Amino acid sequence: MRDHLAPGTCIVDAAGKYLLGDAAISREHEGIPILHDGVTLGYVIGSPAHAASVAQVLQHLAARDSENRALAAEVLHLYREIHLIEELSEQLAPLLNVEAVAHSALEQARRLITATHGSILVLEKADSPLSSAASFGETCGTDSSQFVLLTPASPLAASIIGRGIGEIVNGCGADPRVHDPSCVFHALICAPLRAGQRTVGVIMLGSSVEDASYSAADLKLLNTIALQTASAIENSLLCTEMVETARERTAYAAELQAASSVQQLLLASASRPTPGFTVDSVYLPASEVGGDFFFVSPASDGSLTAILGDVSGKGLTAAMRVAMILGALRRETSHNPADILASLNNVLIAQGQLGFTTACCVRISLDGNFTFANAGHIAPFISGREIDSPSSLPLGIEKDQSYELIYGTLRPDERLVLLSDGVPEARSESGELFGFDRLDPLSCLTANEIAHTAKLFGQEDDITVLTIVIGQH
Amino acid sequence: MKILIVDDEPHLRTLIQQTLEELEDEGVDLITATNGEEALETIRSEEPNLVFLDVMMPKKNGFDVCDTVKNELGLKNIHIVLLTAKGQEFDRHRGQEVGADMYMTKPFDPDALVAKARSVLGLPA
Repeated sequence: MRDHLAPGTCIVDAAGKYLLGDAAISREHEGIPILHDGVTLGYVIGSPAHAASVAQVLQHLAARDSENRALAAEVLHLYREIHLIEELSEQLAPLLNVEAVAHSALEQARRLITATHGSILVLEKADSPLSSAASFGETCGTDSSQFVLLTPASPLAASIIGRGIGEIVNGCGADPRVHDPSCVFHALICAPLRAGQRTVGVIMLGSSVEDASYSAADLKLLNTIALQTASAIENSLLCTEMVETARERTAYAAELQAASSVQQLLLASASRPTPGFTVDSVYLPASEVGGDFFFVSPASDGSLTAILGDVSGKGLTAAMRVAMILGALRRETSHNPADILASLNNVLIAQGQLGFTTACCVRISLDGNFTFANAGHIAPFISGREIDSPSSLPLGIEKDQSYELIYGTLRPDERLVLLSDGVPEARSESGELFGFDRLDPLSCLTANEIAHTAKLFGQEDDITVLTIVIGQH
Repeated sequence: MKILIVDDEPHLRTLIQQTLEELEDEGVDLITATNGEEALETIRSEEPNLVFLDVMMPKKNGFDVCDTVKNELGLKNIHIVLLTAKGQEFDRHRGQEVGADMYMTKPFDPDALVAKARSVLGLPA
């Protein structure tokens, strides 16, 4: 610029202070003003034509510089925003508690946006009511209802969550949602806490300072804070849910373990001394508690009654039903298999049990003669073959059912086998069923061998096997 | 009191200048250099109190400039802040070796930049 100034020309600032050019010329008379945005930046003094050209160039340069500065200011504002987001997310990331996240976010908001009061309200689930997670600002006097605007009852909060966009309310009296009879607040600013498609709450700041007002820049800042806070709150809620689920699972596992212990005790006591017979039983539940059961009871005439069954359903419900059945069998006075099943059927019906129970009941005398009745269960096996029995309804379906008695004889060298459907329904990794065809030769083995063969094949359900041989072996 | 801003990116120089210009009212001169060699010449002639020095620059990089200033010229009283781009692996060991006082990442935090300058120059926060 110095090289392009004609002799006799100089540039002065708005106050007349010399800046550039011919310092010797008189600065008493006004030169051509250099204007930018209506402000006089200075003057070019000299011949009017040359001074006007120089002033025009300077005005152009001033405009460009102003644009550059505005752009730089915008970039610096973005830099600040980036650092705010980073700082906030670093602060919030390790916090796994909703209240701690809300408190930290509210502190950050208070640091950046002037406010006398503030709160973060959270929706733990989509259908749960708003609850206060953090707040600041003293309540004045005894009437805390004046601060209802920042509480879960706030109509403004509900409106923000419903619409899903932030809002500024300057001059609170004019907005019907902001009924503030004591005129505590002069301005409010709110932003929804949106995590993905879900609104998890709202952040609200208010000022009780007279003539206070919030700007669009404040709302932009609050939205930025809200975005970070919403993700952190969503994570905290998920974390809380996971912890609760894990706690419930642990409690349920403990209950199952307890039920399993009780069931093992009940089944252990289901085998009483059986003089004149060798009774072996194996019970392999597929999970902690099973739905299979068996009960062995000697009669005063030296005969033996044995029942093996399977209740429908799984888990604790099935285990409770097994416990109830074992209780009923203990109270049973008859040794007739058909009567025992009929009586058990009516007990189950009377209990209003959902589901059904299959069972096979056998009474065998010391001479090897036996009778059995079957309620929808696998029939007994002797010497590698299943004994034919008529089909009948399982227990617990229809009241006053009768069951046919089947007669047979067990020789001293034979083994009578009762088993549950966990044996034929064992399934290999490739999906192949153990099936009934393999049961015939398998039933010639001991209870332990039968049960463990099925288990090794691929246990899917409870496996129970009970064998009876005449004589003590 | 002088602050030297060294960056080959003119926009970055402008941004740092604009960030620090509030200090001009408190008697701080802001001077700039566009590469490592120019930075060394300016440091020799102006002896600034604080240098914001970009690491990745043509001719002479920030590490080399810092090494020369601190170790060859022995100007250990000049506070040097290295500026490194975010995501760019900063060699902390090399930074320590050449005697850099601290490093900041770009995009820098404008408030942190001003706070650093005030602290080094002993100006009120």
